[in-house]
Amino acid sequence: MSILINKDTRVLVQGITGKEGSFHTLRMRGYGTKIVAGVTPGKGGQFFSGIPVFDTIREAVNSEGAGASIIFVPPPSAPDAIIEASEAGIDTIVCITDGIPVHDMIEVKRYLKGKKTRLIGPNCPGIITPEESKMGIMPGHIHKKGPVGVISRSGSLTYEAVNQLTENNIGQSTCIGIGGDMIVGTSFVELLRLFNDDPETEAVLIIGEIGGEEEEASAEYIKENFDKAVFAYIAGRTAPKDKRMGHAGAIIERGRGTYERKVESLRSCGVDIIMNPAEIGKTIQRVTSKF
Amino acid sequence: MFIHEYQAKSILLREDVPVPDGKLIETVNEADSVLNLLHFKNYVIKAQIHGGGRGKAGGIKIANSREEALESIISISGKRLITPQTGPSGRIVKKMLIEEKVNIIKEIYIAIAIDRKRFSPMVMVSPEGGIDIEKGKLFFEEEITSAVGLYPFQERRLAYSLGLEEKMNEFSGLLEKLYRIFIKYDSTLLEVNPLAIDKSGKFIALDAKISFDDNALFRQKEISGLYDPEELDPLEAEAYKESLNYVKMDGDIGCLVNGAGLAMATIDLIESYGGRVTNFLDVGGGASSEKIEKAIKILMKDRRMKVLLINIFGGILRCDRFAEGLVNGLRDKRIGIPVIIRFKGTMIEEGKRLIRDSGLNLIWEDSMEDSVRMALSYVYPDK
Repeated sequence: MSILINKDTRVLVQGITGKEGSFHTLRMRGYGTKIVAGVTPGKGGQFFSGIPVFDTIREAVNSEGAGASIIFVPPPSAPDAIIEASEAGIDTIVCITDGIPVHDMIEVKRYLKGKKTRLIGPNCPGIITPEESKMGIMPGHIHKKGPVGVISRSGSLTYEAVNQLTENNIGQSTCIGIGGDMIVGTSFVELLRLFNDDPETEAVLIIGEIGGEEEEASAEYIKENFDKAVFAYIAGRTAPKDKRMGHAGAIIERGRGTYERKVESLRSCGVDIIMNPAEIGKTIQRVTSKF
Repeated sequence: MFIHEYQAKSILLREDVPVPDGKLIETVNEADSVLNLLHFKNYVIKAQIHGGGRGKAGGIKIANSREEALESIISISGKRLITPQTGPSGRIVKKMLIEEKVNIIKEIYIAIAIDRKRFSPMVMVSPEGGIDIEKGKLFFEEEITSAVGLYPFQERRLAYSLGLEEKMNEFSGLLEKLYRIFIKYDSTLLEVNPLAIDKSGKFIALDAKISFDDNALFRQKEISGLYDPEELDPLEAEAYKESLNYVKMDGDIGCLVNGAGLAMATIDLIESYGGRVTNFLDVGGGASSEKIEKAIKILMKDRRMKVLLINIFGGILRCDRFAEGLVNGLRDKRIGIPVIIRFKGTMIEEGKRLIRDSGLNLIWEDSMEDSVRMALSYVYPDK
């Protein structure tokens, strides 16, 4: 098993005829992802590399039965694309688009509240269940099927970590990058909950970074509810203090968000903290070989 | 994007939020003629730099006469201010705001910000406004759950918590104006500290800071025009223009990485082995080869750099596009320093071929660790 997507997930691509959309559609399909439809308003009725293209998501869903959607449309239209997918009944949306205005994402979050749709991203690498399905832009070949779930706030740093896992012969159940923006669709805690219920995930690797409160919230959740092994690497130990304006940020965070606070809170609930980013694979290999 | 206090105040004033009477001067030469236009009893001279904490750093002065005001202007102008929000190199004062001093009865803190935990805007207030706000303990907040803004009961709750029940309507009106500004201009932070109540009982914004969402500048042409490149280091300003995420640091190892997370991890690794970097640079996700070329050219202008470390793990950034930009950026240049490259990811074979065919003489490494060690060996050969 895995979380969020597997070999049977029927995926549609929003923005399939664009530069990024078309390139990554072929790579996803090459990896084994079931791409069943594409949507580009105005290009309905055409085919992209044998994949039927529709004007609206509703038509694509009715005709091809897609349950998941990946979005490659430009920032000004991406919020509308997310809401359109949710409205058409899509369960899992991955939004790759980088550069969506914060206020637009706040509106998207308001819309999604209470809906069954799960949004991953925006500004994220996506989801991959190795050797089954890839909904994202990550290089597929560095992944390998196995027992470690990976959640991350980064893109390329996730590839680095996964590459190290695979080189140390440790496979992954599902890897998810939640995105680097201020407002994201799905938090670490929600994904930890899914991994907790996934019998094939034996351990989880968290790739965090300074800022925000994802890691602190994860620590609270792990303490109460999570009984699998958790490893974490937090980037930004040596980053200079943010230049910032005003005091609101500091008042809201009250000391949370720093490297020290994140490491301390995760360590206090039994998470194995990896200090050296070049030793993520080796460390997990050392620990899990004792299981 | 940040703007200056005087620019923030002009936005407030336009939306009908009162601010003190005042004028901006850009050189000391203007001081005399500007002071002739202002007939204040008491003056406040305020250095215009991005970053708070100016008062304690000597960037705000009160003057009780025209002569004192002139003296204050001369003493602040050109001064380097280092505050907790400017970074260690501080800022040189180039512009000053000369305002009428307001007789204050009460000082309040009020901000609209984005709460990253609840993914929504929030209003935060404190009855203890002023310079020591971060040490304050008394904060009240309300989450803005509706696109329309705060509900009237939330406005009332905030007013009660500030002891403003006498001014309920006026305060509600002010909250609504501030929220309108926050939305209209795609702001990520709007902070008025302090919001004063003057002798006549009126609200007046004595200081204001507004930050804007860079991702929304495409639809905020007017706000984009308020950008002041002089507030950044010249290389930082050049990078900002190209939408490159660049921060100048104080070492000698140049860093070119894709993705903020990997860039931070690379720097963490370098520093854990005792190295120091000249910069943080994340070229971003879907960077074009032109953008990569510009990034290289900006980095190569930094004379402090003794070695350049490139760490690319391409996902949406295709290695072939990166290679094209790299080759164009380094071509026709005497590189003069060793360039170490660790290169992996999407379209890697095409990328490698492009670099090899160009004849560029780079040092190839396969892992992040080896590339970092190699970079360090050039800077500290004895280690």
